Amino acid sequence: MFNQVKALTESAVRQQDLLLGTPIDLSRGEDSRLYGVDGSIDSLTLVSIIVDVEEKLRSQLGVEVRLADTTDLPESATPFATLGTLIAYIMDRLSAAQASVQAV
Amino acid sequence: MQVAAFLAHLKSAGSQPAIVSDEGRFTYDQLHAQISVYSAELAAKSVSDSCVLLVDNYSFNSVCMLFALWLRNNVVALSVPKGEEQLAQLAGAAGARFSVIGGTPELVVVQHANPVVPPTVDGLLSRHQPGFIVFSSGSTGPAKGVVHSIAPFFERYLNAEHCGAILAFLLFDHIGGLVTVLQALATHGTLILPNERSPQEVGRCIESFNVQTLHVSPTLLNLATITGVFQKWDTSSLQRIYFGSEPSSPESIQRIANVMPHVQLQQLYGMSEIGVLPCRSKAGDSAWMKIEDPNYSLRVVDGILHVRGATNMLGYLASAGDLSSDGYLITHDLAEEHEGYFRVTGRAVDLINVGGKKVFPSHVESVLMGLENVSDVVVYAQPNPLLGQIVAARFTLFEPESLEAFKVRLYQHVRGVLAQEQLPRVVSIAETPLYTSRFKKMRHPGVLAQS
Repeated sequence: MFNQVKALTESAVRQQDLLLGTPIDLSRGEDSRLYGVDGSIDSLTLVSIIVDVEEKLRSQLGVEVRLADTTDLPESATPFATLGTLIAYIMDRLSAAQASVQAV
Repeated sequence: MQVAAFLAHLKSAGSQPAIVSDEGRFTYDQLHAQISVYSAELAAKSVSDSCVLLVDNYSFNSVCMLFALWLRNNVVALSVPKGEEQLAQLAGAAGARFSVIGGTPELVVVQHANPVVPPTVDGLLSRHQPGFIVFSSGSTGPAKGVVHSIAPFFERYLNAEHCGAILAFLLFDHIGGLVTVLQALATHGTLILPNERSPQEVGRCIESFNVQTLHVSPTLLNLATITGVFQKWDTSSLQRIYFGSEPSSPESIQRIANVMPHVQLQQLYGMSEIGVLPCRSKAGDSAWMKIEDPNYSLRVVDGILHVRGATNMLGYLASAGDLSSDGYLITHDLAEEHEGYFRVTGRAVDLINVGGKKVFPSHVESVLMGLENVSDVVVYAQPNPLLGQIVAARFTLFEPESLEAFKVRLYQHVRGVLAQEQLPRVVSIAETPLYTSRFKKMRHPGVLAQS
């Protein structure tokens, strides 16, 4: 599951290159900076990635996950800081969504 | 209040810091002196009693130039730097006789031949009254110029709350940006100029310049919170945050209150047509506001907010604007009223507000309709916790096409044509028509989802 989520997240990030003058730098793998301190993308690109990931999770895994609403996270959390933190955040949300489906 | 009297008030602050940035620290004495220098240069070039397009960003010089233009009884149309064609359109719409282009050491004045001056601007000029024009939208659609006299704004901000060091984060050509300048200087505070508009820059400025007051959008606050700005930088100097210009969720405001319990959060209500109103929030719920200034009155009529006050616009460049028979501005904002407080719940029209930037759906639709295989498209606002709203587009196609393949073509088509905030971030393909039985586009996402 992790590899599938990683692949679709990278694909969503790569898709933004079509709209950007300079492609997003993912050369540092999961340590690649995305949004926040020293980040390489702006808020609109971040939102675009989130929307694309949500859509891919829906179409490929059949799971509805909401990623943009971070109000339930601790105030120190920075889920969009790097590719790695983003994937980890998506995995958390995905697990929670799947658990709630199983509970029903 | 006349410009000269306002400038005398500024001069009385003497050696106190008026404007501070990485560019330097400028006192009220220096501010006053530079305004006088510019005023003399403008007089030498006969830039007086005219409509003038001022093209600049925030700087010590641009603020001085703005006051110098007013001192010469000009009506100043404000714009940040844009393309030549767009600036020519703005100058033409405003009836500008001159454009003053900032950002260079020398004064650059461009003269325009035979301007057609709109009646609202002509009225001010014929009475030798300085004023200003703000355009309610810039690159995001047809510009709508809002015309004001400056004198009521001087009066309003002489009596404003003292803000101390305030960060000029809103745009120079935005009504919020203009009143930030007026509040800072009229109360002998200090205007702090950032290098760029980003959450991290807000944090850097607060720490570097001991900013006491912020006037920003809820989106900026939200982004600053989730990117750790208020933890990374020392923000202990901050005393109050004004926020407005777009809807805000109570959850995100509470989140900011949790991070900075020592800071007073004050929601404001304003628009280009009336300026920013002196609001006081209800204890415990900043969404409910009250106006305690006797110079303003509000009422809610059929669910729409009406406002009347000293800083009401004189009119649009091309029309008088929507006024009730007794002089209230009909804002087209949906509002509720309860025990003397009011709360704005949304915009009655279909403008999309992406992080404080307004997007006209019809403009985006016109671009998207140029894409091959598109039979129809409807553009609407999709709520988003990070940016308030984002642009969503729902298409019908002539021939079946996968969403993935379509999005690649779409992104290639709009890149460089639409601004970042105008780009559709949510894209879907519908099997059913996008209009009602009366042939009106269905912009409400709820209606679209059911279709």
